[in-house]
Order: sequence, then structure tokens, then C-alpha cells
Amino acid sequence: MVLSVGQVSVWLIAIFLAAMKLYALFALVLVSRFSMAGELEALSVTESEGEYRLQIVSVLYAPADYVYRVITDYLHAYRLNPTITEVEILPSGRDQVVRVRNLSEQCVGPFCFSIDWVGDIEEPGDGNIKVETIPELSSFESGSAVWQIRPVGEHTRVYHESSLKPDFFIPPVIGNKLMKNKMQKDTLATFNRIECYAKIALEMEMENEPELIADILNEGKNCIKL
Amino acid sequence: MNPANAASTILVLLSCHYFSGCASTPQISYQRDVHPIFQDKCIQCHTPPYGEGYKRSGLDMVSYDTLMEGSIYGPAIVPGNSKASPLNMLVEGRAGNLARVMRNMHTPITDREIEVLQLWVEQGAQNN
Repeated sequence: MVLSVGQVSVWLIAIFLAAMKLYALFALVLVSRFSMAGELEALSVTESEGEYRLQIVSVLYAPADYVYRVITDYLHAYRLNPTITEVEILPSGRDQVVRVRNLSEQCVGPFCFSIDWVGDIEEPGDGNIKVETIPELSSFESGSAVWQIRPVGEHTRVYHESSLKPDFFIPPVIGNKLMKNKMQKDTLATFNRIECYAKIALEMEMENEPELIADILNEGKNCIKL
Repeated sequence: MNPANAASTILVLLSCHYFSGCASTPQISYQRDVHPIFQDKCIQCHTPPYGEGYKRSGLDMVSYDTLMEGSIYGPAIVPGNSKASPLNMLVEGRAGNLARVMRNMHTPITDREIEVLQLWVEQGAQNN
């Protein structure tokens, strides 16, 4: 088989991008720290035929309505996931359903790649949230998630389960391991930030005094570092 | 384009990326270019203790140092990375209609001003 220069270029670019993605995952895993502010009850990530499934149950030390508010503040999703560079709320055409588009960017040195995600988020108003990825508009072949947010006294038990099948190549064995580690690390960081911002929202409401903002400012800076 | 030409084009583009010699991007100054934009469009609300923007977010834009301290939701600026900087995201409309809200409060921010803020952050968000 004779390949044209164009075909070779396409293959070289594909291999290069795959290598960059793998390197990005590896670099992220190297600097990962597993920690949890609330009480982590369960966390697992599994993979089967290219589909990743994640399950986490955690009690966050913040009231449920504030936790719910932070999770459903889609316009500020970049506060929970700092790799998000663009957020857009699109018309869904359905009651109680919000269509959200996120663009996130991963960079390794000067090389960056973007991940597009569009999904319908259903909020029935009972503390549950259902998320359905729209594959034709996303960098994923499929994806869905559920959230259950339940008050436990002044705290909140959050159950989250999601599945995602990326439509980009992930090298088998080592790539899967790196992907699973990254999902665990990112999920824990996100849960820490949810708790942190929910506490801040509570404090801002309770103590709307300008002189207290300085203290909250310091907490906020810590949220993003989590 | 033959492979040799393609390779040389890529090399020239890469050298332009790493060395500013062949770029005509102006050096942005915080004092000269950026602060006047903030003064005109943002500071009225983002001034402690009673500015509406400050009370909502804790973001004090009066001086370079307070701006770089960020808001109660973390840093406003990520030096060298305008894509990830919340301030750039907001003024560019990359975080939904918040930009429209901010623009409607006072004089709308212009495309040129958006570009200045973008370049300033990309150039390291220096206090120059």
C-alpha cells in the first residue's frame, strides 16, 4: 500500500496528538494528591470496552441547598473545574432541562488540545440531577450522570455516578490506568471545591459585612487550589 | 505544498511563536493601557467596601495588587493564560450572559479593550 504525503501527515498528527494526550494525563497523575475535606464513603472508577464508570459517595460539610446551588451554577463551572475555558447555556426546548456546553483545555508545554462537551441537565427539583451527554456535539461517544443531594443534619450526602466513553484514542493498559487515576483525582478536587464554595455562599449570606470579605477572600483563594 | 516547503513553513511559524521577532504584537502596559479600562468600566462597582461588584465577589480592582489577590472565588487573572483567566472569560462572554450584565451596567467594553486585556494577560499580566 502506498500512502500519500497527506495521509502520512494525518497519521503523524494523530500519533502526535495521542502521545500528547497520554503525556498530559501522565503529568497530571504525577502531581496528583488524593485528599478529601468531607467524609469520603466510596470512590471507584472502572473501565470496560472504552467506557469509564465513576461512582462517588461523600458527606460534605455544608448545607444541602448550598451544595445544590453550587453544583447547578453551570455558568461558573470553571470554578469547580479550572480547565474549563468556555461555558454556554443553550436552549433545550424542554421544561426543567438545561442544555450546557463546556469547552475545556488541557495543555502540555506549548501543545494544547480542547475537549468539547454538550449535555442536557434535568433538575426535577427533588435533589436529583440527571445529565445526558449529546455525543454528536461532544468529544464523547456517550455519557450520562446522576447526582443525588440529600441533607444529613447540617451536612450533605452527595451520591454521584457517571459513565463516559471518549471518542479520542486512549492507549490500552497504561492509558486506562492514567485515565482512571485522573478521573479519581479530578473528582476529589471537584468535590472539595463544591464543599468550599458552598461554605463560602453560606458565609456570604450569613455575614454580609464588608469587613468579613477579607477572611472569605482567603478561603476562596484556597478553594481553587484544592 | 511539497513536504520540504511544509516543514519550513512550520519551522517559521514555530520560531514566530517562541521568539517575538517576527510578531508585531504591541507590549501592553498595565498603567498606560489596562488600568484606564478598569477605571472606566469596572472600578466603580469593584471598589471596597460598598461597590456592588465588590460586595458580590470580593474583587477589588482599584489597584494592581488587589486585582491580583482575586475574588472570593479564586484568582481573577491567570498570568500568561487568558483562556483560563476568569476576568477574560467574563469580559469575552465565555461564561454565559454575565458579560452582558457587566456590559450593561456602564459603558459597554469594546472589542479593542477586550483584546488589550487578552494581550496583557498573555504577556504575563505584569505591573508595568
